[in-house]
Amino acid sequence: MSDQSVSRSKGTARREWLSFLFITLILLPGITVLGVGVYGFTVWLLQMIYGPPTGSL
Amino acid sequence: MSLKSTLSSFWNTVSRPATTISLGVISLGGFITGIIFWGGFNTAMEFTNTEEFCVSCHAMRDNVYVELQSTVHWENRTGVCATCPDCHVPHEWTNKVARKMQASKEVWAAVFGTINTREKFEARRAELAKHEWARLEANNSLECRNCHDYDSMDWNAMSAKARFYMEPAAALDTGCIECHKGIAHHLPDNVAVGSPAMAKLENKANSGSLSVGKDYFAIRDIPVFDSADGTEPVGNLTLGAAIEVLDENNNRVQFALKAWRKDKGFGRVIFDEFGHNIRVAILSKDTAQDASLVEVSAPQTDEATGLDWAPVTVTLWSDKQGFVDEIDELWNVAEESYTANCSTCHAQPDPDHFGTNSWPAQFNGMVGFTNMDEAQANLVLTYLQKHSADYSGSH
Repeated sequence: MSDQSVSRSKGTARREWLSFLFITLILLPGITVLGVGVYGFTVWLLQMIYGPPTGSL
Repeated sequence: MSLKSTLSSFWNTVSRPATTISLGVISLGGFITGIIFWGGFNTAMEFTNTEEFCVSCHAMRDNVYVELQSTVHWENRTGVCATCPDCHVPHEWTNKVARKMQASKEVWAAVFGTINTREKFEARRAELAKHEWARLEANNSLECRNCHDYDSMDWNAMSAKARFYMEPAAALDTGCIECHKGIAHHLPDNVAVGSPAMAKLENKANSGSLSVGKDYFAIRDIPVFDSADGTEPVGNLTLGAAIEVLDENNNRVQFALKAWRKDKGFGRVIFDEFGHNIRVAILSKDTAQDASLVEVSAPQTDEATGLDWAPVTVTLWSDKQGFVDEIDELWNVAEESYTANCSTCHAQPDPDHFGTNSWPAQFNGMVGFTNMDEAQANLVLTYLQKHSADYSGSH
């Protein structure tokens, strides 16, 4: 391997690790929490229109 | 580096196979962070569902939390204690998440100090209580029933008085909150009818100064007994019932209620006047059939319905509280309520626009659009029935 390809693969490794950690630790948890939040707000909105939940779900 | 090039470099990296991280490390990393996230999410959900978290805001800690501590839901001989979320947060996941999002309003209120003093809390107590009552009425007291169950109630262990109310409620599967309001926190003041005039009238009625030989009117439902020292109610007088006091004994009075009943079934329901569907009393079956307590005269036929109505004189006992000597004050409160609630949307018809027996259908069709509670609606309907075309002679 040439010096150039070693440095490129070092840069690639850095980028890949950063991307991996960003996705698993920030992006996906964030999207999940946001999704649950949006779901909750949607249900609340529907409850405001169609009334509070009844006992028989 | 611009945002665009950062994004495109990120996309270039994630859209092709990793070259320096092994598939094993990626899978394991994803798996482990997944577990950590799942655990963290549930921990956060549980943390926001603890009493400790609820009372971390002043509005809760200084008001409702203190009130709870004097009730049986806080401390009792069995050592079971209900904490805030047991009653106030749905246990089912979807509704729980929706409630958590709804709590954004509470966070807003805590941050901006909407309810940061006792006075501000009291000013809003009725409104807040009504939200919770509406929620529990809609789900038929689901959160109560997570612990309390009609099927597990031992009727023999109950007092006779409790049984009198609980057994019929169990038969109809009535939700707990329908009767048990204000058991864990204080009831809002004057919530029953929400008018200072009514509160004044209640005070007057509860002074219990009745004299023998005079006529009085019930301003609310009043339990009745078959003797001066009876412990088990045998029925109820309802709002507007006119009685004559015959005798008194300690805190009880014996009264005569001259009214009518339909000559049909057990005759448990007593009506105000011939042919008019205005209830003034409801009796237990045994009492209604007891000739010594309910004296029945010869029936007359109502031409309009073909039903036979018989005049009755009901002689029973009740506590002294709940009566006034002047019924007009009650009707004034009712009229005020009627005008205030109905004129919000339309010019309300005069009470004598409809007959006594057609008011219930008219009224019940509209009452859902108002914010009258059950007691208030009951009062207004009785007022309308008592001031209908049948009484004024017009229409």
